[in-house]
Amino acid sequence: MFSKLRDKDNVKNTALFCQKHIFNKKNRCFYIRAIVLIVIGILCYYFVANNDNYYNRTIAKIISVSETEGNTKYIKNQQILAIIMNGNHKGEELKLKNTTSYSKISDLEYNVDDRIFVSITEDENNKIISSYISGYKRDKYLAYIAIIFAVLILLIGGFKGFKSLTSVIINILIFYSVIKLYMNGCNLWVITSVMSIIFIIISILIVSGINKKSLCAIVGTIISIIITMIITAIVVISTKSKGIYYEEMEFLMTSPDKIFFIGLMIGTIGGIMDIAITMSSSINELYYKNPDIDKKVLIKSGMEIGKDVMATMANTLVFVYISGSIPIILFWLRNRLSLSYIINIGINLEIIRALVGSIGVVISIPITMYISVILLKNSKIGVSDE
Amino acid sequence: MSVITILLIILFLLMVIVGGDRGLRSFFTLCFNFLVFFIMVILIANKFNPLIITIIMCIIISSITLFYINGVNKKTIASLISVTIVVLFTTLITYSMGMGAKIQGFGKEQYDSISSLSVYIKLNFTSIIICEILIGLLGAVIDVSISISSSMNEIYNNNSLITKKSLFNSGMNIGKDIIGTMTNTLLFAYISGFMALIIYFSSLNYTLADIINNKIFCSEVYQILCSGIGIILIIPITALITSEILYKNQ
Repeated sequence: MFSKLRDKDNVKNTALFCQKHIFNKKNRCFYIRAIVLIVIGILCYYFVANNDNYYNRTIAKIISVSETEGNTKYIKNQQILAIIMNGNHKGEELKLKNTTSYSKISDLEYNVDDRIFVSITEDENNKIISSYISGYKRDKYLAYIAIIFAVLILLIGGFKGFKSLTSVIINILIFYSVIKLYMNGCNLWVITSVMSIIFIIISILIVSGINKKSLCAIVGTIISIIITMIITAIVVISTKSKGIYYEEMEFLMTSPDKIFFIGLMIGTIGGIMDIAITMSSSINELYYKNPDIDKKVLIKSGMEIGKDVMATMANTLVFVYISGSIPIILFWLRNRLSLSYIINIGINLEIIRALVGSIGVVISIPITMYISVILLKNSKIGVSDE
Repeated sequence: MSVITILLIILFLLMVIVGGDRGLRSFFTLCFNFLVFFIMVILIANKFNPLIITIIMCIIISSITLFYINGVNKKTIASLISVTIVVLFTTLITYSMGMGAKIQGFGKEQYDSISSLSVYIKLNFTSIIICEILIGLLGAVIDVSISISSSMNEIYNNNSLITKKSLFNSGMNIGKDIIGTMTNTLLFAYISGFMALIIYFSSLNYTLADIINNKIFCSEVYQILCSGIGIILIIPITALITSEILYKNQ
């Protein structure tokens, strides 16, 4: 009986708890936001999943697949029956063939309900005489992952998440316009330099607002990037680019070195900006908590923070760059290419990107710190306060 | 001497000058991680299960990075647990999506570089794309996680009267501050890697429809967005686990 009473009490308490916490104003806002975001997400996804009529290319939906084994047990032949989803032949059925291997390196395995692009040839009566698969329709999955990302960042990040999302979108638009301008014949060095400065200013202002610490971060980032690029240029020129092989950029029609160095600069910006914001905002925090703080103490604390972030940031860059080469490394290893060839020639560009990025990160620690101290304390380093 | 050797020496010197003893350890961590990365790739090439190997290696890399630089203590343990949870969670998300999008292997723009070798290498590339995504986001996730847990630890030590809930909220706030810069870091790093490809697309006049259905473009965007999802998820998870661990012995 006692336990029953307690149960009753518990139920009452839980109900009270619900009223108090789950349905209080802040949480209610959160739930409303969550529901609205998820509904918008589902609508977007539904639109992208059924956008066949907006494509000029013929799209077909697979309705059945039958498989037979190829000449070895690692290769399969697929006989596909598909139905056309758009255009003049909408509703017609097609028989298609596909070969797929176990590794799926340069081929795809199709399943029922997949949507594919098909190329068709017609005779004079507009009847289809032949057809083949020309590609796989991926836009639905792209929308899927983008929606999950957007919903999560807005849900967990709130207003700050919204700001980050805006800054990412603006940066993508700026990047897009760089490529467009380059295609129209502008000098790549000039536009990337100008755009990089715009990138930096906009990103930092969006993330940390218009104030003194943003100014410190912007100045720190720009100076650090210039120094990093000068160091890189000196190394490359003095060694006459010994050890740089542009194997993976062979498809480019213009000289790969120029594009590689511009990519190097853009890649370094992100890491340096991150460090610069961390440094300037923590020094700012230290200074405003105690405006009489001694310059030496400020510099010492700044360096401690810098040492904290150095390794993890360099690590981040190394993994981002190197992860992209996992498939090709595996492919080479299975084809019995030597490890020294892979490291020295195959992935040398990734290693250089990671090293230059890490150098930039380390350099930006003291640079941003001194700039913040100079701008905040309004005096020169090395001159005592008295 | 080649460019890589000189850059490596410059990085070593800079890390030691700026970071002293901790800088030296940071440099060795990078070397260790690079080594673990190659061990992982060699194991996968020898037909060990890619998913299991990747998850184990992710935990090893996180332990090296966290424990060697910051020591074994409550904040690093909290970070390690959070990173492991996020790695497992992201595996689930990427596995289901990556399968559908069929982004494994190489796109037709890369066929030139693989044409002279055999493509029937008896290695299933479907799960290798997930390995690629996980390794790409690992560094960022560790970074965000240790930033949050070490700041929460500072707050807790400076103000022992703080309640668990407000500590959790502080963790969330610190995390939200980091999202902006971290997403940008990843975006820039990934863009720099595939800038050449975008220029190639535009010089061949690919339409928008061609680009968004292109295999390489898709896999690149997947990597950026999955990393983004990883760093968003790590924020509440680290905040929760750190507050649990800090209050555990009370």
